Amino acid sequence: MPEEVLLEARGLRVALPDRGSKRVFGRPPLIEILKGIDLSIGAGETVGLVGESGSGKSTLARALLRLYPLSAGKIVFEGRDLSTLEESELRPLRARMQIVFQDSQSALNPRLTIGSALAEPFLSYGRASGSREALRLAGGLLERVGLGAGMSGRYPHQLSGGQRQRVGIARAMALQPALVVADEIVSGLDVSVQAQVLDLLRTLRAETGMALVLISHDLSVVRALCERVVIMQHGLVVEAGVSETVFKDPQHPYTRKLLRAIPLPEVDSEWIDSVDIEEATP
Amino acid sequence: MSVPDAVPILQIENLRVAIHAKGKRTPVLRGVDLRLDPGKILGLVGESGGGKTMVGKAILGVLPESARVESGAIRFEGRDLLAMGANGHRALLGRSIAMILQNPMTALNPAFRIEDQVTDVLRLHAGLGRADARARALEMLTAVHIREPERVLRLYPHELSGGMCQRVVISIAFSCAPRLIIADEPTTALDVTVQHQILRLIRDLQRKTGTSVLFITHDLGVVAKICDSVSVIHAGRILESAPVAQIFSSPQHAYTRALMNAAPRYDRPESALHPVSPELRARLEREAEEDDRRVGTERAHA
Repeated sequence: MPEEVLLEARGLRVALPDRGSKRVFGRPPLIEILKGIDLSIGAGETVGLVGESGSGKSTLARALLRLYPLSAGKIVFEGRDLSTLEESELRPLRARMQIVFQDSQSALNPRLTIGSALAEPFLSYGRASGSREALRLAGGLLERVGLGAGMSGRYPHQLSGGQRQRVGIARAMALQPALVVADEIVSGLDVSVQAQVLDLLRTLRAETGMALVLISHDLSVVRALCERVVIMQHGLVVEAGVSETVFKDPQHPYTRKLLRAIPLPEVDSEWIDSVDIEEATP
Repeated sequence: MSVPDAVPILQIENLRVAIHAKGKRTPVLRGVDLRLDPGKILGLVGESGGGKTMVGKAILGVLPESARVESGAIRFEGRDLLAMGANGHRALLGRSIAMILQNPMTALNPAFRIEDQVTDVLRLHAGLGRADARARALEMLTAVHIREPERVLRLYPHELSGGMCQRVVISIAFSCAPRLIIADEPTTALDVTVQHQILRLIRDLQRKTGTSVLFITHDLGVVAKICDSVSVIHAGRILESAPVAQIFSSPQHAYTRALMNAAPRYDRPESALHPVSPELRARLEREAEEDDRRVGTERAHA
């Protein structure tokens, strides 16, 4: 693990309104999604957050960037305690920590051209003297993510899923963040496009030295990119460690179950019977 | 291995389908050949846009309105579905041919209780009365390992998890003991541990009933685990068909190999991620265009 700690979360708890609540009047009751998470991310490190739906991995990603209020715990990012900062104090730090969302379609404003969407961060953080310079910088970003400045005038719906995801990555990279959180950014892409996007992330990380938190339900994707892996279940970390060790010698039964459930592309007639069908209760 | 002279459950021969829109003809299936033998699971694998879902839709007779079948045959137990007319085709659906789709939440009607949806099929196709249909529905829900089936019958789809909905959809698909099931990405939207269980469930029921399954997927891993044979599709062309053991030990087509190399594997982290190369894509595109030209010339001469 690198010496320098970039982000440190201790005893993180997050409770959000229960969307399944049937209450008609008043606020829906809160439901605890994260139940006390400790996590530390070193500068320039790649960490994979793995879990199934409902594990809290996406909530954790957003909570780390303080996009959700914390009900308990603290997050120290670059030496500053995020949990006590006002939104106005957080703003300069927001440039240092970015997120790329799973749904690239809804992450981009459909009425903005790709160029304008990418120029936005430069303008709103005063990193460009005017819109001309911002657009020029945006063009440079497009080149870096392998899209070419020609994409600048297009709208999000004119791009393929893989291209839009590159735009999402470009926008996250714009202000040279120290930390980028990527939330399921390759799920739903064809394997070949997925390989390209993962390769791009790997290259950008090597070039910039940024830290990367990769959230995925796919352990193989995490293994391909991350030095360290954190396995989550029901709002708790069940296992964490160096990827090589965890994948070779998983300690927690849930990690073992996850690994066994992955269908590797090789014929194995015993695999399918290696799981018992659990009774499903409504 | 299949007995060569047994009548296949499904045999598709030289199926050509094109979309006609805005005065333009776009081929989507370019002479597809497929063979599925009784009691077997055939995987149809490829990337999005390759035409795999279109094949499923053609079998079910639910191609988009803009699509035209230009030539070929879809033989179900020897009878050409394309030649039998809409009524004859419809009569087979649900009873002899059933389907399982990717998104179980949309496959079920949100406005009706599970009971209505499971018993509908039984009353319509098996001619059961209300009480018998309900009894059979309970049996089916138990067969897909749903606890408290009486309670589940009273619920609406939104009250169930994705995995649970897919179990209900599977119970509906198998309820009339169909000869053929078209399963289009049935586990893609599910968590990996749930996928494992649903695959086992499909395989168990398939073995018990002797149903044949056309399993449409993008995931070669899933193919390796559940299918007996596999066909690889790209740009509406079948590039390779083989028993699974063979395709994974010695894939013949460059595209099949490319797909295998593109997916990361947790057990082989050192192997780099290789997207399908632009050269291969260009070659495949060229071949598809040549095919279009040849067919165009034949059509002009006909």
